[in-house]
Amino acid sequence: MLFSIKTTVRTVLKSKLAWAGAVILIVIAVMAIAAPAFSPFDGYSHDTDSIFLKPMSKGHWFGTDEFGRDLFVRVWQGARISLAIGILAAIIQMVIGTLYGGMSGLFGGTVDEVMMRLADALYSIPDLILVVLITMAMGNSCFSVILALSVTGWTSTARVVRGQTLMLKEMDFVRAAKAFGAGRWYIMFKHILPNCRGQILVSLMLNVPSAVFAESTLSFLGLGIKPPDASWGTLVNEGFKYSNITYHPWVIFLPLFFIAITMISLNILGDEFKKALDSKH
Amino acid sequence: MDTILRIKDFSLSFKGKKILDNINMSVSKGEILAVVGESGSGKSMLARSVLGLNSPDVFDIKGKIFFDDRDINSLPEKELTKIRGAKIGMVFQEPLSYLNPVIKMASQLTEPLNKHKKINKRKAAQLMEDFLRKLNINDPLQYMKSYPHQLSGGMAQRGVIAMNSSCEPELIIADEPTSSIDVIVQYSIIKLIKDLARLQGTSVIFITHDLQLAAKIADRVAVISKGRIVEEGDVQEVLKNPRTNETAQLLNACIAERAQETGVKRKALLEIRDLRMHFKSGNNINRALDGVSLTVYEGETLGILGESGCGKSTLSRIITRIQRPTSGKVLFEGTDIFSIKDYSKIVQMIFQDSITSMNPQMRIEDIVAEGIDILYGKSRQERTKDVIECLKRVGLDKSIKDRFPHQLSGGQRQRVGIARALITNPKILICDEPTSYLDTVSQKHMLDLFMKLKNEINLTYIFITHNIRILGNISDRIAVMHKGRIVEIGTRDEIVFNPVHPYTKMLIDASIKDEDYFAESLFQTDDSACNSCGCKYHALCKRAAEKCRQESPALISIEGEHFVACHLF
Repeated sequence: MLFSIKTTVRTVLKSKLAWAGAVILIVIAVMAIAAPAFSPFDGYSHDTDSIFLKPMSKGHWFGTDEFGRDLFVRVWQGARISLAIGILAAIIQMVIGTLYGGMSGLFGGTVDEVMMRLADALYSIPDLILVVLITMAMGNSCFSVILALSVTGWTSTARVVRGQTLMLKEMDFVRAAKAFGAGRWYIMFKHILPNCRGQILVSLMLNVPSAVFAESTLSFLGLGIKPPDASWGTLVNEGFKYSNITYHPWVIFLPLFFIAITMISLNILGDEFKKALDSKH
Repeated sequence: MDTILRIKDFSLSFKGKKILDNINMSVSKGEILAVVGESGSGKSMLARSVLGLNSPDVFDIKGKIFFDDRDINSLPEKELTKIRGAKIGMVFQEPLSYLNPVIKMASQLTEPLNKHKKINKRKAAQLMEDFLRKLNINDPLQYMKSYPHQLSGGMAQRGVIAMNSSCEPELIIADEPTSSIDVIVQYSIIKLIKDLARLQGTSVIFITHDLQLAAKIADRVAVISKGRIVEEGDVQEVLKNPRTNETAQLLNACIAERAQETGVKRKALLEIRDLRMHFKSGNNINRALDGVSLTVYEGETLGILGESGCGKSTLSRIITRIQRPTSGKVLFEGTDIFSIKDYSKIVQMIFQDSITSMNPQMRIEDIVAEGIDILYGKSRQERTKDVIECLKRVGLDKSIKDRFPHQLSGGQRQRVGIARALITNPKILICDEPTSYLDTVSQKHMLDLFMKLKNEINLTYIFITHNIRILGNISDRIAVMHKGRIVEIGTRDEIVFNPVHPYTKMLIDASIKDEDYFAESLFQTDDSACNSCGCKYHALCKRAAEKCRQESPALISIEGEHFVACHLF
């Protein structure tokens, strides 16, 4: 039950797979932050003389799209948006899920039943429909996309935290605190949540890729980030709309590749953390 | 007599640290040898070495262990598997952790017969059923169909002992097989091992930390301390004339007579009136507490004696306001405890399992200071000062305050638990089985600490345990609980030396007397609930009369302060 960040990280670092995932993510993060600043192109200006250039031609490392915009810069600008949305949404999901699950578990009885059934109901509604409704109501900004994603994705965290809470509630150290007259909030924040740190972290790490994927799907369908701002999903959408897959495959496949590899790396890392946690129990 | 096991100059080290040092021991055919030592003395490692379970890649092994004139350590693994289970059997301490939880008992119990004697599964199951019936398991078919978690600890251990004996091994090693089990069931299991040994001519090595228990079952005893055998001999001789300090220490931790302090007019601190706690689950009502009334006087140590399931934990939770009773009242100095504001400062509790009673993420300083944090608001420095003082009072150095619970030993953790309870300067301390996870020597240290605190701060104790020896050592009065009721209450000498209620008598006999009282006991140990309106035990008690079936007995006085709830008086 003891969760120590140091030993968990050490265990995770023993796995080569985890190293691979971590390195890829670091590279992507660094490029997302730095690359657009160091490139001579800006990703917005149209250049009709340079449309649909192949990768590695005329200084365009990833080639250009239908408007002559440099894809290298656009991909990394897209990375900024996709990753930011993914991480923010995952964090908000974590906060909502933890509080909801913790309260449900702590109250127990009928309150717990009702709260869990509500969460189940929310879970059973197809995420896409909810997200579409919210973005339709609130417009296509980053903010509304993050909000929409957060509202639908917290249920898995809630379930995990509630399970841990139910178990921790019966521990003697919670009883000892009650014998001192501790109230519910004290017990939740001082005793229960600190002992869920591992599960919450893993949940967070695995929520990021789902959020990234959800956002990409949204944008791909045209419901998320709208051009000229672009997330990876939007780039795929544009590629789909404007380019021919046989003649200019790179316009579609480059952003797709980055979505895939980011998700794989995040999932691998999250899995390794999960394994490291489980192996200690 | 033939020697079947001979351990010669055996030493075991791990990374330079000596675990066993020059052990010389032998076991003859048909004898029961007890190996007694406190925790950490190396007794379990010795048992594992006999079975060849300590791999020479990890440990440094010197010396020889001869079983049937063959050196265990020189045998290849293949030969060893033929010996384990068939010639040497082993019974471990906690049945629920070494039995496979997803396999039914039938498969697990018949495994040795199947693998070693090549008896087919159906025939083996038949044999085991007959065996179980002989061991007083009432419904062997149901037993075989159950999973381990559906059985109680005692039942599971009986099955395991049957499994071990099924292949008629020459030697059975039992490593603390009864340490986590109640006294009465413990007694029946020891008797079982003893009978089997006599019947089949099996030798037994019985490992325990309890010298008195060893005396009940063994012929010879070897006392082991820090990896060495310090004393060996006939068990009665060693008990009467211990020759070494270590043996004397182990013996000391057992019960002794004490002069009773004369009764001074005392103030009633806590009054419990007709407390009831009912748990509903479907159609069944679990009456955890069924009308408990009790008074606790200032400065006394009240012992509550009872086996698991009698309601003592529920009682302690209600007294500390962790739980609300279904009906009944608890008064502190005349006022209902649920309406006193700072009650938590007055009554505190020490828990049984020191590991689960502390948040593993918190440092010792924060754990001990929790009372102050919740009930007062003190500054950082004052808080630390209070914590250091409390730690000193329980005999711990202040450097402990920066550590985490998992870095301390069991005895140290329990002391931290006591420090935590003392930080608000309570008047009453409830101890819920604080010593059951400690070995006898640590238990003695803990009890000494309790006595010291009692004298220093005039604490009132409510000491809950199933261990009569401990109550005999420190309590002034003892209340005996069974299935949610108090069946007898009186001074310590009255209860220990002159018990009156049939249940009390059985408890005392099972743990203190040497004679074979179990066969003649007035109670049958049965797990069935008995909820009818008469005396709860009329179906179990052999002396039950008609009146017992119809009327529930109240506590009536026999003599002075000695009360009992039974129609026979």
